[in-house]
Amino acid sequence: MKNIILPPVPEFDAWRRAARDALAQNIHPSEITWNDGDDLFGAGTVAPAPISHAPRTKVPSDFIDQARQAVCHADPGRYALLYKMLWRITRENRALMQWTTDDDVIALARMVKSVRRDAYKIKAFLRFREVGEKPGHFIAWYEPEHFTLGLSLPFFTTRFANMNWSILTPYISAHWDADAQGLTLLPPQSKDTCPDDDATEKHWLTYYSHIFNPARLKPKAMLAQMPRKYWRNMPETALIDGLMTGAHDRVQDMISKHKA
Amino acid sequence: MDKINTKLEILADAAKYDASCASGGAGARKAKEGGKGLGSLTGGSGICHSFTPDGRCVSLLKILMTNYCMYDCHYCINRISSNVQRARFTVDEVVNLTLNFYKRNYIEGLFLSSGIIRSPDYTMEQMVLIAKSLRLDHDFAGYIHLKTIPNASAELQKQAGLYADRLSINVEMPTPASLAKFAPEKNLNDITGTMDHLKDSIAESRAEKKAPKFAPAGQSTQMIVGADPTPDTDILKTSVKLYDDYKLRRVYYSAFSPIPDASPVLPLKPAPLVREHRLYQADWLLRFYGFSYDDIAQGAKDGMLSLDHDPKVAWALQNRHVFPVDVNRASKDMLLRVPGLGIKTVARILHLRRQHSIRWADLAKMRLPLSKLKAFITLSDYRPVMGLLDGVNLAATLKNTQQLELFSGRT
Ligand code: SF4
Repeated sequence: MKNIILPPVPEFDAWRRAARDALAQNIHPSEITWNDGDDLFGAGTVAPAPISHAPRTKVPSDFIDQARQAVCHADPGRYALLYKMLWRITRENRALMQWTTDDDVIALARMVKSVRRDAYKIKAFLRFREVGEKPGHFIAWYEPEHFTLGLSLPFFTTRFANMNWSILTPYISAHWDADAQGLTLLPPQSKDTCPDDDATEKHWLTYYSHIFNPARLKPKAMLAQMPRKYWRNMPETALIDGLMTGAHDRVQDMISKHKA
Repeated sequence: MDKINTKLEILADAAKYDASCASGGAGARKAKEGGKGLGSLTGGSGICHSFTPDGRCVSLLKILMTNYCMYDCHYCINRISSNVQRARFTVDEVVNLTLNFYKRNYIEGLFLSSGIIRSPDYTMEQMVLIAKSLRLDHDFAGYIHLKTIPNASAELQKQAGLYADRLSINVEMPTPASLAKFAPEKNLNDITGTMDHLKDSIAESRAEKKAPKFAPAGQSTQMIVGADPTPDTDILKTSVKLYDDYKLRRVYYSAFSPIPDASPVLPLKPAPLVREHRLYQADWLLRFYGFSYDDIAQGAKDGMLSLDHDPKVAWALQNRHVFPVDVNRASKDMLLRVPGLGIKTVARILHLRRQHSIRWADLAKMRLPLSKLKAFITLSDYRPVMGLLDGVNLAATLKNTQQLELFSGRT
């Protein structure tokens, strides 16, 4: 049995090197266990992957594209699934990815979908708060479901290139320096580093409650796009219950005034 | 007292009857490097930064510049005869609010409309100043949607298009007669005249690579449904005309809903939201599924789309003779007609059937709505039982029990 330990913050290249070696040594998927390391920036705990001299195996690019996303999934079984598929692609069926109702292909597609959605939701639901003299430093605390901050960072470095900002997550923190146009990744920082208020936030809450139309309650549509698991880091969600309970009375009031 | 907060309350309240919050379609873009610029467009369909309990996406700061208005459109909360509280933002206030919201990642940009003050030109000019300041003073690369003021000069519309990603002008009512009744100061020719101008400017700027960009996300419009008695088929006829003649990107349908201090001309009851939903579905079939206006009309009754069945099912029930469809052999167009198969699923089916012949278990694994599909398809190991397709019960079993809210979110 071969035991492979990969970095705690997933790196696609680390998995790819390890997988290529295993494949070259003809190690069957059932003969490997894959594990996440646990010490983020600690030295020496994660065995560096050996420099690979294994011949490069050509693998269809749609598999590589999906694998790149899937390694960011929080499921500990992701590496094993990817290696099993790599095995099947190189030994059994090069067109495996086209067999869209194959169980492994489906499992991978679900992982990718979940990762993509998670990476999209960071861009959507993350909220900055400003600290210090203007122009201040913008800080956000966010808890992604998977290891998806890395996938979303290009969005933030492009959109907010001329602001200084930090994004804190439970597994890593990212800091952008506008003058240097440089990004630094550091170990996670406590949630308390993020301020708990911001002068503009009050206006945002006002906007949120007044753009809502009480005559069109559709909570299911809201929840489908913004499930409760995202709520805790979005300040406006504290208003939702109140808006919903008040909605009926507001509409009845409008209708009865209209009749009169 | 926080003046901005009070204005925001009033001017967001006044803006919520516009359904659109779309922020896509303008391509990718970012602020100039090394400057003070802010923002980007991702090139996709735009990001929904939040959702309100009405199921709507919050993508833009959607506000009115002012809700004072000289006009008296009956359906509108801002009409001159309504006694709502009034407010007006200054140019700088809107600019700062937009930038402050944007920096905190609340929004993709600004959707600005306004009541008409002093004159259409004056109003439009003030709105253009806001967009111009965002673009030129702040190098703002986020999304800007401006609601064009009817009757504003062609010159001002030209300027608006230089700074805005999208321009829109609402037709408001599905027929000229209803418009005359509900919006006495507006007239359809002015509105379509403006659309026509915009269409030409958009086309010119697309054709000419070096020409300055003009409203790269195109133009859209909105119609209120259920305030007047116009039937669905006539509403859709108007939409088809708008798409064809003015190349609109989107027509939005807004089910009439009660407003504070409503005009006595308006009906008491809100239009059912499911009616609005059916119109969106029909609109979708017209634009992306190869359905013609006549196909849709076939499934309607007395001009009204069925509330029980979505328009594709309604069409299928009238055209049972073309089913069942062989999933392994049918053309793409035909697959798109099958109730329960959407554009993405059809693409997946076309892909898969090149690998192997498709069986019932494949559809189950794709998590397709089998109970909806089963009357309409054949597979290599499946045929509908005798009588299923012609049975009297088919319509009843295909009734939508759950209220679909598919199109309500991303607008
Ligand atoms: S012109 Fe616009 S704001 Fe004024 S009443 Fe008519 S719809 Fe309302």
